[in-house]
Order: sequence, then C-alpha cells, then structure tokens
Amino acid sequence: MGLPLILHALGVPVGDSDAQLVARAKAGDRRSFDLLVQSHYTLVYNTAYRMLGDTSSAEDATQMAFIRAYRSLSRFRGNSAFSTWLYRIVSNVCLDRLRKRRDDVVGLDVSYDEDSEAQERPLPDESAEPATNAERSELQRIVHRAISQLPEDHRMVLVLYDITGFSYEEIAGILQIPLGTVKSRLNRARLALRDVIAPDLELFA
Amino acid sequence: MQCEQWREQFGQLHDGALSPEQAAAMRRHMADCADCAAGYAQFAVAVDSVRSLEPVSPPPRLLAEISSALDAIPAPSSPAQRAVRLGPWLAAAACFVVIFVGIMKHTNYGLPPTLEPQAQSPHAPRSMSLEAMPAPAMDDAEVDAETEAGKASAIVAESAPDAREAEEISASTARSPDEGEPTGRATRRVVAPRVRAEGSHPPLPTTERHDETGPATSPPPRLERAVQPEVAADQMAKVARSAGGVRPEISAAGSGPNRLKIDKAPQHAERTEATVKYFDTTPTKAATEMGAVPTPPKGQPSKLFVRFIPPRVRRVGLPVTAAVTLNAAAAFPEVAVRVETLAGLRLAPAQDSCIYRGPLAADETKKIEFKLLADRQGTHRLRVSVETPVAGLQAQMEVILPDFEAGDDSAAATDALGHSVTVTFKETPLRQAFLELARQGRISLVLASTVGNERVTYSCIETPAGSVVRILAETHGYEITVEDNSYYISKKQ
Repeated sequence: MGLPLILHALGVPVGDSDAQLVARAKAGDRRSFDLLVQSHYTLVYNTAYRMLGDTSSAEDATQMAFIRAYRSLSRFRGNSAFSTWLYRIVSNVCLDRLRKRRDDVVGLDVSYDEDSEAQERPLPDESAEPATNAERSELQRIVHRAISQLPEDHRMVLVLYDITGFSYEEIAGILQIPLGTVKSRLNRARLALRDVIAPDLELFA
Repeated sequence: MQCEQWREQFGQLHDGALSPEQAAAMRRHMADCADCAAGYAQFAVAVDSVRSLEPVSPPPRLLAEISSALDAIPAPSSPAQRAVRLGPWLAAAACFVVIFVGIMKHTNYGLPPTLEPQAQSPHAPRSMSLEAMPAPAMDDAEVDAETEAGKASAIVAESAPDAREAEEISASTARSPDEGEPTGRATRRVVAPRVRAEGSHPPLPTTERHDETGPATSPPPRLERAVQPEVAADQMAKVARSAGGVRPEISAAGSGPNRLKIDKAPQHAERTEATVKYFDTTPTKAATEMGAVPTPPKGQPSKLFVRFIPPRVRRVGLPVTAAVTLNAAAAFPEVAVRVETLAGLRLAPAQDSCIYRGPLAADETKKIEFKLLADRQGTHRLRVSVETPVAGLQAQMEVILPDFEAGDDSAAATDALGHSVTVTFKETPLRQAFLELARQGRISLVLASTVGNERVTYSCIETPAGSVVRILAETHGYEITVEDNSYYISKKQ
C-alpha cells in the first residue's frame, strides 16, 4: 500500500480536516475549498489518469470533478466522508467520459463477456500524448495499458482500490454498490489484468 | 470447493481480507493444486505491478486552472445559491438570465427613437401628463387605458388625445417594418373593452377582435402566434414605445396639458445602468433580447422580463416542473405564454400550448408553472413564447434540453461545460450547430429568437461542449451567459 500513502503525502496539508474545510467552504469561504482542492487534486488526477488512460483527459476530468463538487457542495450533508463524496463525483465524471468516448467510436464497442478472455476493446485514447511521457518504464506502460483495457466498472474498482487506496467499504460507498460486488469486481478485474499482462511480465521476469 | 471458487478469493487473500481460517484453507488448497498456486502467484505479481505504478504528477498549471474555473462559479452560500435552497421562487428571482422583451427595442430608457425628433418637433406636446390629462374627448381606448395607468402604475403611457394625433404618431413611426398603417377606429374597437377595467396596456388581441377590425387587418407583423391586427399593432406600438418609461427630456420638453410626466422612469434607468450587466438601453436594442438582468428591486419600475429556467428531465414518463416567470412594472391586461414541445416532450397533462393567458399586474412577479413529460430519451426541445398586446413586445426562445443519463444523482449534477465533443461543422447553420453541441455535450441551451442561422465552419476534438458553444456564440457576435447549468444565447448589442 505504499503508493497511496505516497500520494496522500504529496498533498495533505497540515492543519484542518476535510470536515472543517468543507464546513467553512459551505459557509462561503472559497479559500477553504481551494485547500480541499489542493489536498485532493493530485490523487484525483492519478485516479482519473488510470481510469481514462491519458493525461489530458485526466486534467479535464480533475477540473470537472472539482467544478461539480463546488457546485453541489451545498448538497453535501456530511453523511459520508468528503473524500467518499468527492470520488463519487470523480467516478461519475470518468465514467461519463468513457461512455462518451465509447459512443464516439462506432463499431468498436464490443460487449464484455466476463467468461471470455481475449477481448478486443477500444484502445485508450493515447493520441494526445505518447505514453512514454508519463510512464518511465516499459513495464509501467504495459500495466497502464492493461488497466485501460479492463471493463469500465471493473477498472473503476481496481483503480479506487489499488491506485487511490480506498478500502472495500469506502468503494462500496463511493460507487454505491454492495460490498460483495466490490470484492467480486475487484477480483475479476485483477484476474483479467493478470491474464493480460502475464505474457509480458514473463519478459521482465 | 472448486478451483473457480478459490480463484474468487485471490484478491481477498492477497489483501489480507480473509479470516485466518479461510486463508489457511486456501493455502492448503494451493499446496495441492499447482494451477491455483501458479495462478495466484501471477495474480499477486499483477496486483503488485499495479501498485508499483509510479504516481503521475499533475501539471503545475492544473491547480491554477481549477482555481480560475471555480472563480466563475458562485460561492456555495452566495445569494444565488441560497435562493436555490430557499426554493424555486426565490431562485427565479435571484440572478437568472432573463429574456428582456422588446419594449426596449427602439428606446432610450423606454422612449422610442421615433419619438426623439418629436420631442423637439411641433408634435412634441402630444406627450401628455396623465395626471393633468382631462378625460378623453373621444372614445380612444388607449387614452382610457392611460388614464387608468396613471392611477394604477408608476409607469404611465403616452398617448394621443384624439384620433388625428394618433394617426400622426402612427405615421411618424411607420418606418418600423413591424408596424402597419394607422386606422384608429379599428384600434379603438380592438382595445377598448378590457382596458378600462384592467389597466395600462391594451389587452392582447384575439381572433374575435381581429374579426371585428374588418378589412383593415393583416397578419401580425412579428407575433407568430397571436393573431394581431396590423392596425392594433400600430396603435399598440405607440403604447409600447411609451409604456416602459420615458426619458426625462420628454418631461422637460413637454408643456401644457399634453406634457408627459414620468417620475420614476429615469430613476429606474439610472439604476439599470448602474447595476445590470447586460441591460442595454441604447436605441439599437432589438426586441426579444436576453441579458442577465436581476429582478429589479421591488417598487422600481421595470420592463417586462421573462425568465425560463430549463428543467432537468431525468427519465421517460416522469413529469418535471418547469416555470416561466414574468415580471413587469406596468400592468398588462393580458399576456399569453405558450409552450410548444418540439421534440421528445409533451405537456403533462395534455393541454393547449397556451399555458397562461391573463393579466399581469404591475410589479407582480408571476410564475407560471407547467409540467413536461419526456416521451423518449434523446435531446428534447421546446419553444417558449410570451406575447403581449404590444407590438414588438414579445419573446420567443428555443430551449434544448440534454439527454438524461441513467444513474444520474445529485453528486453528479450536470456540469455546465457538458461532455467533451468532437465535431466538424462545415457551412453548418448556427442553430443546427448549437443543437448538435447540446445533443452531444448534453447541455441545456436557450436560444433567443434573434439567434440566426449564419453558416459555421468549425472543428474540434474532445473539447467540452460548453466551450465550443461559447466560441461559436462569441465569434458570431452573440452574447452568452451561463446560469444554472444552462447557456443563454442572444444577439449581442
């Protein structure tokens, strides 16, 4: 779990808790919301990057997620953690974008059959940048690409768990799905990932 | 337990989420099952490889970009947002973009430019002080109307004291293509009945009255729906030009019993200029324009404002409430609000497209609610029009509602920018381009009737629809404002 810890360490400010900042932001203190953005945007960006596959989409999605969060902040009642609520928005933004992207690629939309292994899927949009810009090693590139090939709902759970670092329970809250579904999706996502990258991993072994 | 079932627990084993007993049982199985053992080993490598992905650093500018994007959004507890929480009524009153109906069309603070020369001309004294005005010497309904107005409203209307003067005014304003030939007698018949009883403006002409006016009638100049005799249009235009307020110069220039005296209008004009962003009071202001005009403070005279806040349609068959809000300082005996559903929607329950026909009192903010029902998924369109008996004083707007999304919840409130779109327009009519952007980007658009069909050539890749709408609007000289996740586009002045 080193990665999420590193990411958290990048942005978490010393001082006020999310709840305190949220309360002040809801009272109209824009600076407090800026602090919330500061403390979360790196991890939101990483989540979006792994979900969407390219940095420019990740930037857009990050920005859009915070805009949506700011707009609907008054509706956030604090029943869940701010991060749970924020990542519900992030996941919706990402899934919207993926849906939109899929709608645009007519003819490549292959329905996912969980039993079959080799599926052809629309590749992630990498036209915006060479993946090497973001990925320093070939292995990282392979893994990143493999994540992009997972079905969206499975990818979401995998990214939230293994990249963002949420627990099963938190993910159930974020995606509003039963805990059992989180576990089964996560397991299937990882099995699918294993099957995609296993041949490549042997090269690096 | 089958291997398949063990495999389902790989993740929990790896995450340490199994109970010690479960984990022990699983390890015992793998000790016996080479397939599962190898599978799990690869599984663990795969998971670790995901977790070993190095974090990517967002570009340094991203934080600043988010911050500036947020600058454009009202703070969560700004008055506008509070109003939203307090309810739709206040929400409507708070800060929404409004359609400013064309009483300002040819006006300087409500005075028609055609009257400007008159102010220095021998005809100028036609303007009259309503307070001082004697009872009309003839049965000119408008004079009656204004007598009523003088009593009832802060805004008073200028009018001709007799038919001859009425004709002169008509003739002097005939250059407006919207206005017809003057035939005063027909007008009297048209406007007389209800004006006495109801207020400062003549009632909306109806088909029946149209028939009464006989051969002098012709199709209405601008109203697409209201049957409006040209003669009435002409006379009503006269009222329209004067009803919304009059410049102080007129008051000063006037003399004698016909001097027009408006005490509050200049005050309103000043206030308008000082506080309202898009309120344009120059004579070039076209009819049916929109601007982000807050509700005038109570007691302040105003023009007729029309607001329509696009409803958010969420699913087929579920009626949603929408509202048209009207506000005017001067009383109108009759206004008509029509909602025509153009695509994918219908009124619920089924009813005539005219959702309101009736009076509008001075200073009243009238909210006319109606329900819309989506027949199907897809882009939904409707047209909202507001008609008054006053020529040139009507609004019409086309509203495009985005397709709704399954599973949409409050946390995922539609973003104003909408989805990213990849579009190519080649010599595409502008309205069609907007429609396509609204459809693909799932954004709400309100297009004033002044939005034309200029040919557009534009291409973009994965750009937020809202940005493209803004680019197209601004490069073609249109004013664009965003409120409540909806884009309002109208002709820029």
